[in-house]
Amino acid sequence: MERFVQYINSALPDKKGNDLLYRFKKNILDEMNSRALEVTGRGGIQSHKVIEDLIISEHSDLAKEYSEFEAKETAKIKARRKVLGNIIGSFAFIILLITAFLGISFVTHMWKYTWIIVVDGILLWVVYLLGLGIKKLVSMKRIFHFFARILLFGAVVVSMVAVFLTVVALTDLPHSWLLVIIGLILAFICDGVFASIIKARLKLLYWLIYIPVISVFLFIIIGALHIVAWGIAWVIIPLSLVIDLVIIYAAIAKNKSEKMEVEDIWNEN
Amino acid sequence: MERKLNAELWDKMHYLFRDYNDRMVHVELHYDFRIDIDALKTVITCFFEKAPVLHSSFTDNRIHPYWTVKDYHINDILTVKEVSEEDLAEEINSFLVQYIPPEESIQMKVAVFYYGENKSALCVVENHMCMDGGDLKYFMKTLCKNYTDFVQSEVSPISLRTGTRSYEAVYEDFTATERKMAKGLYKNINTRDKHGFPFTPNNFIDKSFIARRKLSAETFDLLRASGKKHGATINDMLLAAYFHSLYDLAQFNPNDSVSISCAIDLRRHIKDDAGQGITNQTAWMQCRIPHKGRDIFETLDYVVKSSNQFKQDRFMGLHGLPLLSLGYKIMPHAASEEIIKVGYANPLLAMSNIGILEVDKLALDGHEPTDGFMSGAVKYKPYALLSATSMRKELTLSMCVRGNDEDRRIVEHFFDLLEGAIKMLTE
Repeated sequence: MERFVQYINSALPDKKGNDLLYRFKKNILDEMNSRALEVTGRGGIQSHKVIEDLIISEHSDLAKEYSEFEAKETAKIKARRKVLGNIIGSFAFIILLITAFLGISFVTHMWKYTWIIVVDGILLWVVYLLGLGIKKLVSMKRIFHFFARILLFGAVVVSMVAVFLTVVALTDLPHSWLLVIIGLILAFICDGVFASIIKARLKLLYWLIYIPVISVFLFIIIGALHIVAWGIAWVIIPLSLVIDLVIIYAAIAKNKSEKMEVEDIWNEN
Repeated sequence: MERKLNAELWDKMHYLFRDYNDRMVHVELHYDFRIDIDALKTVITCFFEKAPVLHSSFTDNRIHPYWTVKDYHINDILTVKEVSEEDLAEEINSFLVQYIPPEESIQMKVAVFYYGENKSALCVVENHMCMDGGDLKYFMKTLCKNYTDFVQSEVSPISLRTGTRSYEAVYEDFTATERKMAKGLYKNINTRDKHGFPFTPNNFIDKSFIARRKLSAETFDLLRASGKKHGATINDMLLAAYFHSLYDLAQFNPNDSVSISCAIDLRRHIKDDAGQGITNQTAWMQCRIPHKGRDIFETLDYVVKSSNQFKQDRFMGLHGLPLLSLGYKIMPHAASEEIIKVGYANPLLAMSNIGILEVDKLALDGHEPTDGFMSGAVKYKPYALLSATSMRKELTLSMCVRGNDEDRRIVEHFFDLLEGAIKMLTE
């Protein structure tokens, strides 16, 4: 035990008033002592020196272990504060929203428009919560990134629904339903970009699927707005397939050139 | 709280091989002095503490299998026995052919047999799921060095490499482009070949045995010299002899194309092994010849051509790894096992050249081993694996089989043919 204490103190000198350091050192000492008992129980090692050396070797970088412990403890406190902040903030936001809705409605008597304050406010709050979920999932293992992408897709669609409802409530704009279609296009684009950023497997495949899907939506928008006649606008769909082919060709060519580059270096060596 | 370890890709793959072999890897080393048991116990305990997978129990969870670190006592691992020289072979054999179930608390067993005048035999059996022959060789060399340092200078025996056991270590020293390419090698490289070793049919009373044949140092020198002349390695020479003998033994049609899978050590891709724990890093290359050569040298030419094809590949042995990994990642373990079994064809014929057992590195307290060998798992019929190791240029060929006396005779006859073929190659 004496050697463990010496080792811990030499690796991490005491700092007055640092409660975290004291807790860490105590935990480590307890852990080392219990490991010493465990290893002694194996019946294979007679020498105390060997047991001590073995256990010390398991904690060869105490400073690093301490900084990890410190980071973990700090993150725990931060996370607790964040959760509390989000709960209080959400309550405050909803109270503010209702107050604003009632206040503006009573003052202006424009109840047929003011409902949008509550609905859009709630939808934006949902988008914020989805954003928190995305942030958390992205920081987790790769397997959870897929769920982050689903949340992102949802967040984009919910945002566009909020815009759509605002337009419906406040204006008489024709074809405002197209905003939902635009929302879907944006959702697919955001997902494709997000998949590329997080280096998702098969990211290219997603683009190959999304491009024709987006082209169908574009076809509907262009046709509905009479930008181009329906009879001509359909060309956009086969065009999207041509774009897919170009992407496939470019990917194959890139892979080929990389392969040749690797082979050249290998053969040179 | 129980400590759990991740079951790595190769752990899972070797677990899948339970239908083909007993997954035990064997070592036998002889010394002309009495090994200090207390010192050996110290070294083994330290190594087990350094590599917790060696005292872990494998759980075949249907979703996500894992290892659970278990308590143990040194007596669970180490057996010490005084035996007469007459009984030595039998004692060693019965120790080596034992099977350690993956669910057991320990995955490696060690025995020291004292015999004759101050002689010792050190035998080790371990589960292939924990490490392959390459790392077992490293483990044995480190064990011997630590034992020596401990006995001679009281240096604590704790210098066993520790760290990741992940298969992905093979990609670490690649450039970004190479890594991208290597991780995109999704091709299933398995091709089925029905040509197998002519064992008798399976029988429930079959027992495991290790058959071995030793070739002299002179033969080794001649083999190397002859190989040099033909641009062939020792591995190629052995493989050519294996092919040639097998055509005769199994009476294959000489026009048939036959393949033998050879173990490849994937550590060739790892430049720096610091931070690597003991693990498996072995893949297979399927060496195929179009037909039996008119003479053994023509067979050798085919073998050299086939193995050179693999050697020219920057990503030798890495093909199919991403596919395996994907299979295990996207599906629960139980489902991925079934799917992988459909795509994976376990080779009926295989060879593992474990390589040189360096006596200076296997010396205990200054005593070099006088004899020894290493071999792969006991294969279940109809699968066959020929293992090769050399010590002081003496080549030991071994085959571990679960079979009967007739199978043993067949294997011995195969060794006769193999010796004959090697003789032809060296003439």
